[in-house]
Amino acid sequence: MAQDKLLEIDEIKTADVTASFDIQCSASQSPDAVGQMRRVTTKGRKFALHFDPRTIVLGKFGQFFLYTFFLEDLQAGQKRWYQCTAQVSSRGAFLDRNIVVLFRVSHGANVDEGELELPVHSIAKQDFIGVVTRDIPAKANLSSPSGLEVTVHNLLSEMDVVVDGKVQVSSDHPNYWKAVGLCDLGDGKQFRVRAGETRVIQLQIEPKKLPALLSTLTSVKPDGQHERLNVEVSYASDFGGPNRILLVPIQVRFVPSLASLVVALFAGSFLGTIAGQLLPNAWQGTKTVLKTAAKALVFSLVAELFAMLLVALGSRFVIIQFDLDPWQFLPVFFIGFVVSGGKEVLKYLGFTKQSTEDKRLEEGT
Amino acid sequence: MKCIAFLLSMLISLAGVGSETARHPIAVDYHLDGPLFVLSSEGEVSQIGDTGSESLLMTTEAYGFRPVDIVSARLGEQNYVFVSGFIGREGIIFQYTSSGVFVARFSSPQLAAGFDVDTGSQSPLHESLMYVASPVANAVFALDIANPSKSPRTIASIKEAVSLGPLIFDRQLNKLFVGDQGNGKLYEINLSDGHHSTVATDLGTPVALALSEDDATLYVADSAGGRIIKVAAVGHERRTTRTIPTTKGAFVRLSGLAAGPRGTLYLADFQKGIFQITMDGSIHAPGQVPAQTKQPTLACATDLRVDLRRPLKIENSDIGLYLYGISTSDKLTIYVFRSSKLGWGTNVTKVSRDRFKTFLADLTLAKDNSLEEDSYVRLTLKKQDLIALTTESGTFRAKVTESHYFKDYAVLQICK
Repeated sequence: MAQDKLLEIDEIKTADVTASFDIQCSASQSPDAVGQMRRVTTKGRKFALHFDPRTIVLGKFGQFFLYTFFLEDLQAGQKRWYQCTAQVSSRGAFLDRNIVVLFRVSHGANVDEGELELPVHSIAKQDFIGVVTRDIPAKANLSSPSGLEVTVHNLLSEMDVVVDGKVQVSSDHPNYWKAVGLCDLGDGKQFRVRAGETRVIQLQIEPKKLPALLSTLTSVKPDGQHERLNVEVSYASDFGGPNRILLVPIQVRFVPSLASLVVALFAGSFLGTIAGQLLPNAWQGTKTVLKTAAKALVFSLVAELFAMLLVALGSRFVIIQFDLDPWQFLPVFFIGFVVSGGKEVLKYLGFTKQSTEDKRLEEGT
Repeated sequence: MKCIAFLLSMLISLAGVGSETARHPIAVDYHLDGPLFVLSSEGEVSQIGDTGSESLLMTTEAYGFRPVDIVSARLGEQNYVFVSGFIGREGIIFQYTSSGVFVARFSSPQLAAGFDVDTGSQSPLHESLMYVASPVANAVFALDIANPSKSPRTIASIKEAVSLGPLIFDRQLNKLFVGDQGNGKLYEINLSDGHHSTVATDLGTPVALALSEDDATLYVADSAGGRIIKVAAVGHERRTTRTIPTTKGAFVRLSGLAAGPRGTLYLADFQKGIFQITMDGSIHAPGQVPAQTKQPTLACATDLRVDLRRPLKIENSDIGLYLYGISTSDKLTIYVFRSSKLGWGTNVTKVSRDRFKTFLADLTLAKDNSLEEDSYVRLTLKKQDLIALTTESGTFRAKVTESHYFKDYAVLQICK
């Protein structure tokens, strides 16, 4: 037999939250896991209300939450139990939090009241977490792919959020990656971010080396992006919050491996040396060319290391008005080429203007 | 050996997880001669055959998808399965073939998830539509199945509703029935003009609806109350409600409902799994309804509705019993129709007045003298009246155990 008005919980009305409780109770047995439940005794010690917040569930059509309470009648000689199901309707664009509510128990002549802290969830469309990458754009290392480092911040001040260990990743260029679609966040298992805290975790996505390396040719600027990922993160606030999806756009910059940078430097230096030797009246024999190439390679290496140092210290590395990233394939090739080819090659290619004196010397005037 | 034992234990544990998932059904759907489709809270769609054997059909693999409802329908020559739900706070409906191949995705307006399919057989344009009920806007929309990108059309807006939930399409009446989880009401929407009216109240938290095979009785699953409520049609206007007498506390969290074969109901309980129940409230595993209750019997015919403005006519009982009386001069003939599935006018068993009388005890037979020959008679069946009923299985002595008379109709319960 349903017990009307056995348990009543006052409506919550604050500046940002409205929540009402529609409760139905019926006689029941003592719950199995009563020891694990929160227990609140009414002021007159006539009743005890037991509640496990882990049992909160969202109703089928996503508009109500169902809370299950167990009411213990402490007055009766033989303890009586009632199970009460509350259909909780919340309104307002609030962040999920715990709210103290007043409840009233009326059983025959026995009337008593008490206070209980309840988690209250919002059904409004808003985000409870922020997900960002440490660097913008995020660096995807091509030499030892370990995924992208992302930080997940819980915006709720009182409740944990539970984040799905799988995320849905889509890409502007899926061929740059070994696999997109469902990817692991961390070890692929659901994880918890404590209230107000931030957790750093790896998005397990691995680039294909050659396509990704070739993509770096499209952008040489130090802060340029090579790729854009759209990541969908599924999460829910603790204790039965509705599932939410956060869409995170991630700019990606591929970082070539050291070996590929060495190859770029060698290739650029070799090409620069050859180009210098092929200028009119420049050929001085094979031995000289080899010596020049060796010197050029050393100078290129020094220039590259110097550039890396400068950029690491926060400076910019500019060659012929180009702001270059010494960690990218094309700029390294360019450094090797320019240093080895010398200003004659650049002049020949039209990258530098001849000074008036040079012109006069050339013309023999 | 240790490796084998480890692998076996892993397999067993994985199998355990699978069955655990299948134990959380969120919705069911059934059509005559088809399998029972079960949607789990994890988005798995299973089929349960007549014998109760279960097989996994597919899994809705959309990321972050939270399933809500399932509908199977035949469009043209192909059977389809539709699954509704939410991705984050967006309403989505997926269409699959009956073999589980993805066909189309529909965006459902205003978080609408309770839905049903109109195969277009009744409409002049033969357009296949999906009707969806929004708990946010408290409106019902129509989506064009052939054109998923087409904007939804508003069918009706129910301003007095609190939060619309389950929806079902009545093909015979060309009406929609929509449950309101917020105030426990059932609304009826006339599709021809969009007019809506309240047809039942005090339904608790309606979470699923089902129509009987002949579309005359509507069943409502009350999630909060753990009960199945019958909303029976009387004529085209009036409706009465009654609860199927299941064991108290038998259900913890009702989540789905579908009309099953032979007057049974399939029922989903999120906590307890799938059941098949008969109208007398007995609960069985799917496909395990005992043989004697699989066939229509006269054990107890509840909610027999009698239209008093017409001749004696008890129609649309839970067991498919129809009783019809006609007077021809000095002879009364009682026709008993056994199966609602066979339709009106078939499987007629005639009982002569004399034979009827031999079984008749304390039955008031009021003949309207103003009626001419070959016209109808009116029988007033009162509580405790004994009557004779004849079916294909034989003639039974039966008792009227419930009798409620209203101005234009009566509601009876007759037990063997």
